[in-house]
Amino acid sequence: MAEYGVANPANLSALDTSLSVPAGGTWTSGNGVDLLDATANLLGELEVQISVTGGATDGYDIEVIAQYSEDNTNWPDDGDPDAIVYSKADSAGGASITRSPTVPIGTPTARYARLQYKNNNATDAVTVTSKYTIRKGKDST
Amino acid sequence: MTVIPRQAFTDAEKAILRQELRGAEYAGKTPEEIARMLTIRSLIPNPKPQPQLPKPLDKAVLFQQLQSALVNFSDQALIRLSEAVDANDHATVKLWADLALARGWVTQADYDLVVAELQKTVPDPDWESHIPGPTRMFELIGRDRGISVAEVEELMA
Repeated sequence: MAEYGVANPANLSALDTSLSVPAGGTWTSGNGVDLLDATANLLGELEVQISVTGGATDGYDIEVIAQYSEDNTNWPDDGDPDAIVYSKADSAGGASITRSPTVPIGTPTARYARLQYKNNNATDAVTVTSKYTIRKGKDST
Repeated sequence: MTVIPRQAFTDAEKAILRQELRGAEYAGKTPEEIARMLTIRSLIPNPKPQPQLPKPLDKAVLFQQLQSALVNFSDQALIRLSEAVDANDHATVKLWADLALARGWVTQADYDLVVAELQKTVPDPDWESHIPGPTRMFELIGRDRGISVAEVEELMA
């Protein structure tokens, strides 16, 4: 399988694994991450890497945003971004993997974070895998 | 730092999806292939008929039909008429034709030809005979939702 983009570092943890995002531009929510390091009372800053496969016929067109919330059951409205994470159109498509750089999401505004994915291809699904790491933290008090 | 699973399918949705995945079309497919099958949109015939649009104006045809009137048009009027044709402005061209008829610069027969030309339509070239249909996921549970390989595996267990 051809791979494009950047290398796949080993120090990232799985966030969303092999998530098939529907065609047609509907936002799909990923898993959440609890950014609080309770021991140190610090909120971590998230960095993520997105890998995309699919768009079999004519490449893919995907947008990824991050959202924050203090309540992991009550997130912002679909597509309402706290940060733009990744946007890629007309990439290789097919069975190849395109892997983004590790993207810093920035200073968190709440305890929980999640990614949302939108596949703008009209017919083809794309499969995304995202990985994350926590780079540093700030005092949450 | 812990990962919190995203909102799960409801029990009712799981029951529908489990039933679906027993279908023969999913036999022998990998979970990733099944996830993709549930989230692609197949092309379906466009339920809307192809619209008809006003035919783009043809300067040569219109000027031929208005030939007898054009000799009476000032240079400025000719420029404006030409611009209206170039802009595909049917209404303005009709106004100029009405003026030419009112002043007796064109025959009723030539005027009728112009009006007929202005009323011609062509099929909308942007209309598509096939459009993306709903995803199978939408057909099953009434909403589009991404699905992971792990979720497919859970449904198949």
